[in-house]
Amino acid sequence: MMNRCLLMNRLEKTLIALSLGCVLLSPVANAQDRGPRIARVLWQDRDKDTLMWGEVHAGEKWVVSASPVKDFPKLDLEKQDLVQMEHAEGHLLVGVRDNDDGKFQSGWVAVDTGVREEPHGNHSHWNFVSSPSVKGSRLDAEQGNPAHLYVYNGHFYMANDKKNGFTHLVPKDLSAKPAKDCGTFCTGGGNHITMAAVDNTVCYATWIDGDGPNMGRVDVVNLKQTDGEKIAYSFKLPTGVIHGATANSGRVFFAPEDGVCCVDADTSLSKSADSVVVKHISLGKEEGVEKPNRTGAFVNQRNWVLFTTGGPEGKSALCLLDAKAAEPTVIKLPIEVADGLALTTPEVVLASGGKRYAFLFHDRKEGELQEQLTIVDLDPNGDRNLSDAKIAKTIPVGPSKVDGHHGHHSVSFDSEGRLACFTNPGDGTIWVMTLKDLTIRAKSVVGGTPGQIVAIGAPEHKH
Amino acid sequence: MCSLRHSWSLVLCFSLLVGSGCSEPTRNEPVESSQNKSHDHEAHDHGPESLTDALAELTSLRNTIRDSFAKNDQDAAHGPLHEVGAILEAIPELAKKEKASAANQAAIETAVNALMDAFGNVDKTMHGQEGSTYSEESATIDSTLTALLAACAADSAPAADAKGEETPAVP
Repeated sequence: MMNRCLLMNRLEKTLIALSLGCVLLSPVANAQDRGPRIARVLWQDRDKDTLMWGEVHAGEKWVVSASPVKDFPKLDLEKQDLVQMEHAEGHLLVGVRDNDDGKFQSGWVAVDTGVREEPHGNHSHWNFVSSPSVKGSRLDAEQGNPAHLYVYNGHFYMANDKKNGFTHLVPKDLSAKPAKDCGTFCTGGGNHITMAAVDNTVCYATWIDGDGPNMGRVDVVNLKQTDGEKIAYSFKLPTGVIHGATANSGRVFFAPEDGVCCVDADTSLSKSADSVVVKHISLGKEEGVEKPNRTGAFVNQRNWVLFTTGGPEGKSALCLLDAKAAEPTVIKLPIEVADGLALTTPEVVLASGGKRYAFLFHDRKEGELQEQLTIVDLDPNGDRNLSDAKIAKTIPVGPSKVDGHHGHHSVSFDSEGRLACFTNPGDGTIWVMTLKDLTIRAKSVVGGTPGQIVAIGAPEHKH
Repeated sequence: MCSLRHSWSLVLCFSLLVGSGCSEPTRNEPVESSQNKSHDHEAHDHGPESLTDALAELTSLRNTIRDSFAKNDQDAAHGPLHEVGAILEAIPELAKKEKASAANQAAIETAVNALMDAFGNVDKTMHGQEGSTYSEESATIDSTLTALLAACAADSAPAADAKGEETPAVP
């Protein structure tokens, strides 16, 4: 009995010591051993409709830390959603939409990322000056239910769908002015608006309508007009349901229900509805399918415009258009996508060292299929002509949690093109990949349902 | 007093702690402002003291950068790419100090500016910006370095010879 008691005492002591050791080695206590901070990430958590932040630490084992952004406004989980977010000049702008056509409470939240760019001759250094903090917000019944948000030439453009217009915001105003004084509202575009701004001088704003008088309508908005009517003129594309716009190399591209359309950017506003020339670029039509191929969003890499088209099995593709070409034509890179999965809009990066990549997820439309990430080497021979783009690799990823427009995988790249950080909404993880070798370095549990992500900053240099 | 149940509860507690360590998010550390950190620079290298030293250092850095890119080891090239700027900046001043002729001084400054641009374009690419790869700039770098060495040698060779030193050759 005595021996048994001694054994138990020893066992208890050992377990207490082990437990204490475990606490000391737990993630919180182990903060000093995480290794150098190499980027900051901010992401939306759909479980709580809030914004989270963390840092990528490149220690022996890479980790992504996770905490809520302090003082982020509390949203109504039933009635509101976080929508698109973008960053510029150290500021992150996050859109908020409600389910009552903007009559409940929609608008934006501005967050100081706490990361500052310090120009250093031919490159920049990235200083992590503070934790992210909320600088201001406009959440009320007057913001017209934003959905799309863009950054062109360093300025934010946020659609105010229910007001048939958009807000043009200068990043530095977000920390210098009260929220109510930030941004200039411009009439232009309608119902579900996409935009392409050129030189912060003119903005092309689209109407989503599929029939009626505003089908295929594009408003050309004079951003320099300080008051009164800002729509210089409007013109029509051959088809409607426009969902996508971008500007590149002096041209503006649109995504209507048939193919892609483009016009020359009219920064001097010298054209009119009658003189503007709309070029139509077909994306083809699949056999047995009623409608022609279309796309829904664009991204830019140098003078190239990139987008995807879907279609029956085996017909999905990454499409590339040279915006500088006299007659832009579509180059299609077929990507094999399993039935039940669909390609996301590509995200592109110019990696440190000069490689250019596009990242495309194969997200679930239905079922429990293994989801994938395809990485395309956009310029294998390094001549800046992307016509030789080819698939670099396809890897399995964690699950998405698609629910309408939400719950897709999201990827973002640090400020020097060294890392890709992406969310797996279905298992609450963020994975980190190094771009020099396309190898996954971290699979960090951050909890919740991580959605859209933004990476910012880079390793701090000393020289 | 020393019940088996007691011990099992400790085992359970231990298991939970171990388990939570594997799946719980890692919380953020408080951010220490990197801008406010005192700059604990190591003792500064005050740079080359003669034109000969500077050219030797420049040639050595060029070789390290070239060889690192040839081995596809970008990280090994990055430090020298930053160092090369300081050496290049010092060269016109050293040439002046060593009384280069006006014509050679102009040639030296032209070559230094061209090398600044070429190495700068490579460094831009290293920082994820639109720049050049080393292979795109290597011919410019090599020919300009040769021109720089020649311009420096035109004035400094007799002095160097007098000291029995050699102007670094371009390998």
